[in-house]
Amino acid sequence: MDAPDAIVIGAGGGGPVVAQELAARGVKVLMLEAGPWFDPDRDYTRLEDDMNGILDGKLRWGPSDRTQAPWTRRRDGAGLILQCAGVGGTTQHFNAIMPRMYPSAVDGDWPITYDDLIPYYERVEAFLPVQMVDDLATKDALFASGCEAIGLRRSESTYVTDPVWRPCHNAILPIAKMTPGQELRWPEVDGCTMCGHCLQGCPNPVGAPVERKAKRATNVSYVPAAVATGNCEVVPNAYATAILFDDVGDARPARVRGVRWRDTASGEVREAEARVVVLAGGSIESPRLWLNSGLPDPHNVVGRHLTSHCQDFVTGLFDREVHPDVGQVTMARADFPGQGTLWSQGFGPTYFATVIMAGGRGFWDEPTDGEPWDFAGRWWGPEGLRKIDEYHRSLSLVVCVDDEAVPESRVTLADDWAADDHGPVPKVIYRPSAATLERRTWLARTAARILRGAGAREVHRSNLQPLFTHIMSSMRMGNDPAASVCDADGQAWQVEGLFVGDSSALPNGIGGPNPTLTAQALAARTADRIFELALA
Amino acid sequence: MPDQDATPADHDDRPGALAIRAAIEAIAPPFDERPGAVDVGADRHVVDLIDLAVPGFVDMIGMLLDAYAADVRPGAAFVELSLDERGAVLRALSREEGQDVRDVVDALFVFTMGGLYSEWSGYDRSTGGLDPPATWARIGFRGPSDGHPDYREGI
Repeated sequence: MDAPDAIVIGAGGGGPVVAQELAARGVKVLMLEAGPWFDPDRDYTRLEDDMNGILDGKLRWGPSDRTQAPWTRRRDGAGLILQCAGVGGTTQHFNAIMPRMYPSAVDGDWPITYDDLIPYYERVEAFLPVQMVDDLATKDALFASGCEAIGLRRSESTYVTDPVWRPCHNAILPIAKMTPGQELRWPEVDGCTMCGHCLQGCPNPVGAPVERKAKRATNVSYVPAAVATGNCEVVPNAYATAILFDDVGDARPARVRGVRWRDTASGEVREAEARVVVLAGGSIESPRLWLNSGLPDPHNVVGRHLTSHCQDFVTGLFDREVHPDVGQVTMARADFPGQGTLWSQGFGPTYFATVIMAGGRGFWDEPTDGEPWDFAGRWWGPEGLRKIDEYHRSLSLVVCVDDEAVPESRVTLADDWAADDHGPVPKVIYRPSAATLERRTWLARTAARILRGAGAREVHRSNLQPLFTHIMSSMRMGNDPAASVCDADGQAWQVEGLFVGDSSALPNGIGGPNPTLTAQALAARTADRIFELALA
Repeated sequence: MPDQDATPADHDDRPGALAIRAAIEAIAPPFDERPGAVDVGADRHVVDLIDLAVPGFVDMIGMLLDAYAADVRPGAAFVELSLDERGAVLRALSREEGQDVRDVVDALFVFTMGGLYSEWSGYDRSTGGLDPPATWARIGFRGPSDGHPDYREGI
């Protein structure tokens, strides 16, 4: 595209929202994506290693040529990082759970109110669409019974202030009408076929066009809508390596000029100029790009206040069939404002085996010190393998913590590691506060109570080094340029014309709920502000 | 498709690869007349992934395992330890706080699970041909599916 008005860096959860919102208004948008552009029908195989293999799966963080090494991050205190390269980003892999944030999480760090977000929540929910599931799979009904056994009431609201359990609001089409033995092809079958492969990328219903693929990842929703305007060009395999800018010394010391990127297949370096650049590469790559570009950071805030929800797993083993491979991977959740959230997690055997055996601190044969689980930590040998045999009678719950946004948790550059083809690599430092760890323990205990209430015979806590699937707030908006990267419009305090358009702009971890809907609502709002401030 | 009939002699014989195989044998050994992870070639899966991520690191992992083996039985290489002794090494490594050592242990466990429970041992990426691993039937996993009309079974 010649002479775009705006360049969006990253076609994951947030970038496509900004791109579509601007393109629909006639703005010429160039959207760069580091990874490949998959075709769900051709490329999503439903297989765990082929799709989710951390180092060489299609949805890995790495180049499209899987014979090449994945891209590197140095980690210090952060566990496994699940981020997907490719058009659609991690929404290709995610559960598509789309709750609104807990209103109580809007604190003094937020430059906008919860009410400011409501029209944008409604806009995104209508677009994808998002709706409450109208039924539960076996595993989720079991989870719900455990919630009610410990006294949680059912709620259907999107506005949560007290502990409740809820059928999930998901960005997944309503459950299809199906009969046993029927060939499950579109258009005879329309909607979610409950295949259980959300995490491997959703190709179902077989034969459906993108607008009728059940899981509403951005590559089947916002991206095609943006392209259909005729005003948006998407360039995959394009790894942004520098934001081009001029020093101007005004209220904002710099002014954005464009972006330089590297074609990951050919190695060719290209540049484009635009009045507006939107950072939407996620909470790890956006600060990395800022720092590698030499953009001003006088208050040393870029990359700080990283949140992740400090995730963990608690698993129950039952004397009945549970079928964790059936249904949308998550259809029911429990909410605990002030602590975080739990949800029932379906997955395939590799993930389950990893959760049970490959976990974090401690070992299965150590005392649990009075905690409400029977085993915790890592397991190996015949005893562990016999537990994995119980996959079909298992229910795993994700522990998702309202982790405090502290400046010590940050993304910076790994000065002691070799740079890769795109510059110095990021270093992800995570330092959960004492309060965060207390909430994590509280949630794990509550998860065990829910599983026992549902009839679990045995309970295992993984005790993982914090899992990073929700990666947020490292480029956060705020009221104070000494404590935030961008202002209430999402524009960088230090760089005119540079905006942040994804979950990295969130001021904190929004209380613990899954962040995608809030990130997308904020991105839609930021698009409005971009248009009014810079492109109208 | 990985050769499920390959003997251990066909596997990688670099010292680091042999040590990794020994670790995997301790993590997921054969028992109750069912094959262990090495028997289905999962060690090759683990070594291939490490070679992809960090060329040369296979040998460094071998040296790390040998260094900890000396604490369990002085003078012994890791491959010479019994399964229980190898378990003691895994335990000691798992207690380390350093991120790099933690990552090595995580990789050994996570990739072994992938080799044993994913489609890896029975799938040809180039053709899409799938021979479901025996582990799937044992644990009650139905494999890749277009959907489940019976999603409420047992409710």
